Amino acid sequence: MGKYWKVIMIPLITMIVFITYYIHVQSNPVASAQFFLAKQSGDEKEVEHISLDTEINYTDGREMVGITNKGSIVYSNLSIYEHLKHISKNSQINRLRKKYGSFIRGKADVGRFFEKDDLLVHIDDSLNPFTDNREKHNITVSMYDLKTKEKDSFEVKLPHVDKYRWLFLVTASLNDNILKIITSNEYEEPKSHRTLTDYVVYTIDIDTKKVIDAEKVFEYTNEEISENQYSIIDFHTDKRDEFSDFIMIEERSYEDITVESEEEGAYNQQTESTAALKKYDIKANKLSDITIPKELEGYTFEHVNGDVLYFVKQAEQSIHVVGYDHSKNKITSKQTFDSFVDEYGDYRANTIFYNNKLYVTNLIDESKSIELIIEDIVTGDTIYKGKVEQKGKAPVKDYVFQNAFLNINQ
Amino acid sequence: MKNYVKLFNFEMGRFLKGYLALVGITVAVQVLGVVIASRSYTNKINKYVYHEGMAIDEFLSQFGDMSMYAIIHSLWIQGPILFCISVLLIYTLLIWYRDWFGKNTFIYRLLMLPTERINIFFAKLTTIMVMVLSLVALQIMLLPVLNKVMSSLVPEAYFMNLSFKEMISGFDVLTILFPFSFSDFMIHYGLGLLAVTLLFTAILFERSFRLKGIVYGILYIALSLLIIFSPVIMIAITEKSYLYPLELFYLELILCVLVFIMSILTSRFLLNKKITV
Amino acid sequence: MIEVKNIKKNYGRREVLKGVSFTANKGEITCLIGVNGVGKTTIMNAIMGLTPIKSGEILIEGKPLDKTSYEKITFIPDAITMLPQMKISDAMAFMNDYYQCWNQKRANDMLKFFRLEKESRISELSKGNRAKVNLLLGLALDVDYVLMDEPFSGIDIFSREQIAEVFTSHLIENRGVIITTHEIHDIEHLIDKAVLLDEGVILKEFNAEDVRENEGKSIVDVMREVFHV
Repeated sequence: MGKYWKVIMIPLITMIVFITYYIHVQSNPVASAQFFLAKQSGDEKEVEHISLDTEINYTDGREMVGITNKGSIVYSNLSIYEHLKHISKNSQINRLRKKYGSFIRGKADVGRFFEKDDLLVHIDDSLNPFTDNREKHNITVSMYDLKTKEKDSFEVKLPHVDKYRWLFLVTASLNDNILKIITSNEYEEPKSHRTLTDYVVYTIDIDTKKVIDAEKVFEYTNEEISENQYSIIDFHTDKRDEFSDFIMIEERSYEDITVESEEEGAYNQQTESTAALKKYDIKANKLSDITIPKELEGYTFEHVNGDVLYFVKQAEQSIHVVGYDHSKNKITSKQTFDSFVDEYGDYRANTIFYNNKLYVTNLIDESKSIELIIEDIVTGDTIYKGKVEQKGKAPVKDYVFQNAFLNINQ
Repeated sequence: MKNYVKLFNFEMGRFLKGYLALVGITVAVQVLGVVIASRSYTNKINKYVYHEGMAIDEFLSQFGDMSMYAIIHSLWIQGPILFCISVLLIYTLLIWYRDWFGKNTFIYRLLMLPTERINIFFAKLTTIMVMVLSLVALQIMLLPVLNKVMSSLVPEAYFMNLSFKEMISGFDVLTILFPFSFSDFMIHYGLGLLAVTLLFTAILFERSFRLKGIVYGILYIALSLLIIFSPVIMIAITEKSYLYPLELFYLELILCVLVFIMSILTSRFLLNKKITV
Repeated sequence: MIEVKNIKKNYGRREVLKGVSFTANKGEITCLIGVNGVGKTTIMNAIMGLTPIKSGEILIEGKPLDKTSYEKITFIPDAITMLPQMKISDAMAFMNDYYQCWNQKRANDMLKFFRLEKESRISELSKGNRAKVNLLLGLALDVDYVLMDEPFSGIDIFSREQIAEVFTSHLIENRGVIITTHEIHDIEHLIDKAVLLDEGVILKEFNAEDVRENEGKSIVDVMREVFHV
């Protein structure tokens, strides 16, 4: 024994030190504050998959945390295993995994899923963003019908795509074994160097697995209208994870205006509004202009639910949300919700329209507290109201939230 | 097993003086650093607060308070750590080559012991790992001691007591050496063990085939890395991951264990069949 | 019996052993004779499993070498196999630790015979004394076979005499000894079997006694004939 003191004592002391260290670390998990999203009113279920990811600045350091209704996790304190567990938390993917099993494998990070009853279609456009390799302009369509247990996967070569610099999958529709894929395709005009966008519908016959038609439905040139005015094109679908039968194409104009203020002097502010709106009916293959009522001038189009279009305008500490049924030319709802603006006086950074719900937060650049309000934009009801609070006996006083954002699908 | 313990004890004994020197240097330099830094700070207090009558608050706002933060980034703390790391890295090579290249040919004796030759490999491997871990443990013990030393040298009003976590979170090398979570600790030192094992196998290739062995050793390490990283390489090539993050984690874990076992078996083969004195 | 059967070995492209075969019996002294660099040490290393061979077979008591063989056979190379910082007593303790066949009494006897101090450090010993310690560590093992590589090389005359005395003592009684040397004068009369080697090939293997009695030749005479010197 005496002779072997080295191999007994050194490893023994080392082990004791490490055990003590890890017991100490485990029993004092986080020196920083424990925040959580506390419900003030409404249904707790609404925030089950929500995480407020924010940076917290203390007097002597900062950390990235994710705050949920159950508590907060400090991202830098996560072990490698916990981190991997955390990034596997996407509730939409997990739901699909549960339902469709191994079909989801290898598809979660690329392309998009479209679900219709028990049929899941995955469209992988990840192989074709750049024209550097023109061979790559293929789209992979994978289908899984849960009822018949039939799986199929095929590649389609998109015609006439050589000139495009970028293809982006907008949405898809599926009717009678005809799959229509709508992409927004960008290219640069060689002479003027202007960026042009084509909206193209590719019609694919599922039975023959061939593209039977490719039609440009809309063309747009990105242009500066004047020095302080420009417009961009954007599209909206009513369902993110399902097939859509139409898309809304919006031209939104921006204008920089100089505001004179007694307190702060002159400063620039940007206003935005929807300049034109078109609807493309995929099934009928028809593009039509939407006439925006005079009343909604200066509003921006933000959300669509079937025929009802939702327009938003910002007021001081609130936003007006107006529902407009374009098929009936009728305003269906007018709601005013509490809102918060960021340092540029913009509400958009703090609002998310998702599944006919409006998520409003005060994710202002620096704030001591974060509030979350969830509204039903159809009925105008507030379905949840909550606020980030601290847990524990010794709350931290000196802190500020910074660069927060709302993660809805955690 | 008995012979492994004997060899392990023997290998520990061979580096004990060097090891104690590392312990001594680390303790001496770090304590000295804390004393010097604290002295220079208290000298400032004497100069500004006691002689020039500066208010404590003003002094603090101008010079800040004193804590382990002030020294953790200095060479006083980092120097001995980096020195120990370099010495142990060099010793990882030396632990084999000293048996061949010494004045006396001790490798004859080691290879002629009536025991499985792989025990020599295990004894050397455990020696390196125990040396590394015990020096890290020393650092864990030393930091709170240094904090105490500093608190005894700096007046209370000027001293900010830091928790252990606060001390190390400011210094990346320390968070690698003693991560906050035990699972990370296992991963870090598991990878360390794997790296030393691979290096040992490469050394045995060199000792078996000499010049050609260097090439074999490099190829062996490259092959091992290729196996370990094959899932990641596949993902990079296909741009698709058929595995979910946690599955990838477990697969990597299995691959690392396989490569480790492969390395032990290869080393055993080389020691039994190919090694040359 | 140690059987060396047609062993071949290359160093790079150079073939150092070109099919060497011989046997060494228990109770006999077998001497491998040849100039430096003919592969004598390589044969010793190969028998002890200290260097791989390209082809051929080596059997000890009919079995290939394994870890238990080191309790039956020992090798005394021309340099000491212990760490320089060790004392003689440490080296003896080390041997005692690992070898069941270590004979402490015999080790102590040899210490006395060689007039060595137990507490001397190996690094501080003269070359002759180091060779004695080396011999001691090998011969204090109760093994059946002892391999010695150039036991007299570079050693002063007095030490040489003492070492030569070992060969007439009970220390190697009933053991099989394989010895390599290019200076056979000190032990010529003790050799039972001589194996003459040149450039990796055995030129002649003969029983020294037979040659002495039947042909009236000494080993050196045969060497002259074979090596043409």
